[in-house]
Amino acid sequence: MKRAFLVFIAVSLYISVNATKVTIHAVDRSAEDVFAEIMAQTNLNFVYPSDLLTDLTVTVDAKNKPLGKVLSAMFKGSDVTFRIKGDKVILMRKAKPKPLPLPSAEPIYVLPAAEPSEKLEEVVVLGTRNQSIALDATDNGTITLNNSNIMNTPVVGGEIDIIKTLHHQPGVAPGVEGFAGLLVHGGENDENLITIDNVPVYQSGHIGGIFSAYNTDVIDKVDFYKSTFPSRFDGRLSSVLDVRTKDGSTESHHGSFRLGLISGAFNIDGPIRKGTTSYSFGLRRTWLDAILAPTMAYINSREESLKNYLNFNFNDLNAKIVHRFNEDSKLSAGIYYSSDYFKGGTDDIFGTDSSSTTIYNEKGRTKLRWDNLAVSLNWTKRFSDKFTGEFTAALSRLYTKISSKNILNNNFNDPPTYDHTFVRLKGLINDWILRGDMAWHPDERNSVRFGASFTNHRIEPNSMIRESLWDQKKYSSRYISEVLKANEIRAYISDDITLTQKIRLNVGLSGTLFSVDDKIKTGISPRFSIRYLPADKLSIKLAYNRSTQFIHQISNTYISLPTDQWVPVCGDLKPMSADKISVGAFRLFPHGISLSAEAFIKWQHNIFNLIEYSYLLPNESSWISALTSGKGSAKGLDFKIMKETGKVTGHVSYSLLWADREFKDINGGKPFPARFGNRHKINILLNWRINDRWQLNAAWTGMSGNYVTFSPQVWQSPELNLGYTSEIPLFAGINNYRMPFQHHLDISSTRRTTHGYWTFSVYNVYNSHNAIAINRDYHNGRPVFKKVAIIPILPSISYTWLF
Amino acid sequence: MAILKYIISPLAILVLSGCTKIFDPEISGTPVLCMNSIIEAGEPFEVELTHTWVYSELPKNIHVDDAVVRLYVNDKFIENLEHDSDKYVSTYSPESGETVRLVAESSTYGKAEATVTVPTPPEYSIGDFRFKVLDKFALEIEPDIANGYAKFILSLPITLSDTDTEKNYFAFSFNMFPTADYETFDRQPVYLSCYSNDYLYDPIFTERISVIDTMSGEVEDYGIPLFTDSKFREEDYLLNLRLSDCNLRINDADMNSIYDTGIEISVSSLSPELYAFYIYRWNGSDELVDLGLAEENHAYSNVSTNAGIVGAISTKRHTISLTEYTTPIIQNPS
Repeated sequence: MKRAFLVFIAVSLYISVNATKVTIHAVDRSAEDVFAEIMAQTNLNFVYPSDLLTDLTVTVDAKNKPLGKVLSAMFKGSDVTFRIKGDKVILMRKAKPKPLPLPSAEPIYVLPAAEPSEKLEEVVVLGTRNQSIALDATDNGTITLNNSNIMNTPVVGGEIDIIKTLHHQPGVAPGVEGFAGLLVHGGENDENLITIDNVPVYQSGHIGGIFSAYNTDVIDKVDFYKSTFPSRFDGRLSSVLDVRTKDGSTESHHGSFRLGLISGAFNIDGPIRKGTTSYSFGLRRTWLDAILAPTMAYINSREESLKNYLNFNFNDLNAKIVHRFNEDSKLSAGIYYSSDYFKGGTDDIFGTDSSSTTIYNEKGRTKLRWDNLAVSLNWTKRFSDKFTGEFTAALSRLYTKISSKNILNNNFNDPPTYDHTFVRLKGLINDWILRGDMAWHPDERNSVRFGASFTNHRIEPNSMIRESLWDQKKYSSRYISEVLKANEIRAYISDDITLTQKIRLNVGLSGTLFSVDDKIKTGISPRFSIRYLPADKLSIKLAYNRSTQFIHQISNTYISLPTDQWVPVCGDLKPMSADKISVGAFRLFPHGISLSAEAFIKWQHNIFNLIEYSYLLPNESSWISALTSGKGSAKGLDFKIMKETGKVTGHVSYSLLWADREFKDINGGKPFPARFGNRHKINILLNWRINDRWQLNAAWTGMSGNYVTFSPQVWQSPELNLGYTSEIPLFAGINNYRMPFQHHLDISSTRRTTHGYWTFSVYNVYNSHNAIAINRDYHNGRPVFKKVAIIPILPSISYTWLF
Repeated sequence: MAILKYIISPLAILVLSGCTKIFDPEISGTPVLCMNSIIEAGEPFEVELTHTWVYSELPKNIHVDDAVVRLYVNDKFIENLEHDSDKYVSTYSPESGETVRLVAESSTYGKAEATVTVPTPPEYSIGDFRFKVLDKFALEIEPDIANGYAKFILSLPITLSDTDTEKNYFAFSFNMFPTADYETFDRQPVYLSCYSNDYLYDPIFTERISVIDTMSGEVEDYGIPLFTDSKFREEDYLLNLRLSDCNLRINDADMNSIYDTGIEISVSSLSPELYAFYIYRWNGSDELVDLGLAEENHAYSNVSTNAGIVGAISTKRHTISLTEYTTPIIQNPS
C-alpha cells in the first residue's frame, strides 16, 4: 500500500511556485479538505501518496501568504513534509510510513505505483484525487462530493442541498422540478439507500421534498453510487448515498452561523478533552414560522368572520461525540434528528341573530408532524496493520403523526350543542441495527471486506382513530394497522484484487435473510467489476451488479410526504431485485480534465405499483391487495467531461435514458415508460473562483419533460342522480405523453468577508416556464388545456459567519 | 388524499406560483363511441350514445345518431333499440338476475359494447320509528289558517339483510314529502325538508375512503350514501337512521285539512360497475393532481371503448307516513 501512489495535477504553468499566494483559514480541519482548497486556488501540480493526508487535521490561518509558508505552517508538527520542484509540489512523509489508516466508508482504491516513493517526480501526473480514483477503481458511476462541491451548486432558495447537487450529475433526475427527488437511471424514489454515518434513514425531504433533510454544514463527505454498489451496501435497487458527518476538532472550538431566507444554521465543534475527545453540533431550522405569524395576523385583521392559522417549521439536528482511545481505536456516538411540523386551520364564525349573537362558531385544526431519528454508536478499531474493523449499533426511526380536529358550537340549538370530530393517524418504522464491517489486506494485491448486519424492523403503517360527536351522538371507528415485525440478517464479502498493473478486479457477494409474517425471504446479490488500463490515462470498466430490496414505499404522490408509508415485502410478494450491467471508460487529459462515459442496462424484477383502480379498494382491505408486481427495464448512457483544477472548474454532462415498466394488471399489460424516464438530460456546471473574495457558480439544466398520463379526449358522463353531467377523461394509456423540454439557469455567487461569506443566488434566472402538469380548465368560457409550472425566478441571499 | 391539501398549502405559499399558461398538447386521438345507460330492473331503459372529443374542441353536438344498438339478454338477441331524440330506447324490461349486453355500432365512430347483470333488490325492513318535535312556533295566527314552523327528529331503525356470499353493492337515499318545489315553495301549504346527514358517519358509509387513502392520511370522516355488505356478509345489519335536522314548514295551510306527509326510504342494489363509477365520481379532483404532483385516478368504465358506463340498479322503496305526527302541528303550530 505504501508504494501505491495517487498523483494529482493542477493546470496552468505560467505562474511560478514562489509567486503563488493563497488565502486559507482552517482550524483542525481535515488536511484533505484544506489541501483541496489550496489546490483550487493555485495552478500547480501536486503530487502525494493517496493515504498521506488521511486522518490528518491541520490548523492554518493565512491571508494572501506564499504557498511555501502556508504549507510549512500547515504541516508543522506532523510527519508530512513537502518539496517544491519546478511547477510541482511534492508531499511526502518525513519518517517511516504510518500503518494502514482506520477504515473509512469508501473502499481504499489505489493506483499501483510503478516506482517507489523516492522517485515520486517520475510518476506520471494524472489528475486530482477524485479523478485518480475514478481512473483506477473498478466501479462505474461513483461520485464523491465534499462540502465545497455542495456549497458551490446553486439551488432553489439558496438552501444548499446534497440531493440537488446530485441532480447535476448524469443519470440522476429530480422528478418534479425544484423538489429533492432522487431518481437514478430510471428508478424510483424509494430505491435509494441513504445512510448517515452508516445508519439508513427513511425520510429524505422537508416540506414535501422541496428541501432535503440534511444540514450540509455538518457533512464531511458524500459518496454516491449509481451503478456499481460496494457489497457492503444492499437493500435498494437504484443507488446508495453514503453521507458521513464531520468529527469535531480535538484542539480548539470553532463554528459557523448561517442565516438565509428560509432557514438558519448553527454549527459548532471542539474538544471536550484536548487531543482525545471532541464534540460537534449542528442545527438547521427554518424560520418560516416567524414569517408566517405576522403574515397571517395581517390577513386575519382584514377579515372578521374567518380567521386562518398557518404555522410551519422544520429542523435538522446533528450531534456527535468522538473519543480516540489511541491511534488504533476510536469510538463515536452520533445523533441525527430531522422533523417537520405543520399546524393549520380556520376559525369560522357564520350566522348571527338579530342581537348579534353568534350562531355557529366552527374551529378546525390540523397538525402534521414527522420525525426522522438516527442514533448510532460506532467503534473503529485497527487490530493490526492488515486488519481493521468498524462496529455499529444504531436506531433508525421514522415517525409520522397527523391529527385533525373540528369543533362546531351551535348556539341555534337550545341548549347550545357542541359537536366535534377528531381523527388521528400515526405511522412508524423503527429499526434496531447491529453491524460489523471488516477490512483485511492480506497482501498488496488483495483488499478484502466482509461483514454482517442484523436489523430488527418494527413497521406500523398508519393507525387511525376516528371519533365524532354529532348531535350528542358519538361515532367512532378505529383502523389499527397490523404491526409488522421483520428481521433482516445480511452478510457480505468482497475482494478487490490487483491482478496486474493493468487489470484490477472486484468480486463480491451479499446475502440476505428477511423474515416477516413467519415467512423467510432470501436475496443473493453478487457483484463483479473489472478495470483494464490500456494506457496510462485511460481505463475501461465492466461491471455487473445485483441488488435486492425488502422494504418499499407506498405513495400515491410523486413527492416526499409524511403520509408515504414504508412497508416490508409481505405475503406472497417477492423481494424487488435488479440486475445491472454497465460498461464504462474514463480518460484523463491535461489540465485536470477528465472524460467519463458509461453505458448501462438494467432489469428490475418484482417491482411494485399501485393497481389501476386502487381507489376502489375499501379501507378494510389489506394494503397488499392494492399492489401489483411487475418488471422494469432501463438502458442508457451517461457522459461527462469535467475540469477539477484551476480557477474555472465544472462539468458538462449528458444522459440518454430509456426506462419502462410492465405490469400484468396495469395499462392492459402493455409496457409503458417510467414517469421520470427523462430521455435526454444535459447539465452544465461552472465554478469560477474570480479572486480571493469572489466566486461565481452557474448551472444550466435542460432535459426532456417527464411522462404524464394525459387524456386529450373526454366523454360525457351520465347525469345519474347528481342532476348534471361532467366531462370524464378518456384513458389513453399510462405515461402516454411527454411534457415539453424543460430548462433553467441558476446562478450563485459567494463573497468572502473578514468573518464569513455572503451567498447570493438566483434560481431559474430567465424565468423559464417549465411545465410539470396539464390541466383541463376554462378561459373566457372556452375549454382549454393549461400547462402548470411551479417555480418562477427565485432570488435568495444568505450570510455565513465563521468563528 | 384530502389531508394532503393541508400540506400543499404551505407548499403553495413557499414556492409554488401555480403559474398556468394555455397550452396546445398537439395530440388528439381518434374519437370513439361513448355509451351510457342505467338499467332499472323491470323497466324499459334508454341508451345514450355520444362520442368522445378533444377537451378543448367541444363540438356543437356530441350525440351519435347513426348507430345501431343491439340488445342481448343472457346471450340471446332481443331487439335493436329504437332511436328517439338523442336516445336509443328499449321495449324490453330486463329483470333481476338477467345479464344484459349492449352492442352499439356507428359507421362514424365504430363499435362499443358493455355487459351488466341486473342485481336483485335489497332485503331490508324498517322497525318502529320515533318522531320527536324539538321546537315549533307559529309565524302568524289567523282563524283556520296555519303559518309556522316545526323542527323535529326522526329516528328509523333499518335492518339490512344479506343472504348470499357474494359481495353486493348498495345505494341509500331518502326523500321527505311533500318536497319543496323550487319555484313555489313559499306558496306550498306544507312541505318537509331534512338536512341531516350524520347517518353518513356510520362505518358502512365510509368505505369510499380507500385503503391507500387511509394509509396516506385521509382524515375525512364523512361518508357517501353508498355501501357494500362486506361488514355484514350473510348477516343482518342495523342502520340507525337518525335524522336530526328535519323541518316542517306551514304556509297558509288550512288547519282543517289533512296533508299527507311522510318519508320514502330507498335502498338500491347496484351493479358493481355502477358502484365503481359512483365512487370515481365522488372522489372528485385533487389539488396535488392539478399541480402535477400525483397521478389522476383513472375513470372507471365498463364499456369496451373506455368511454361510458352501463350500470344496473334494482330498488326497493318503503314509505312511512308522518301524517299523524304532522297534522297536530298544522292544527296547532304555536
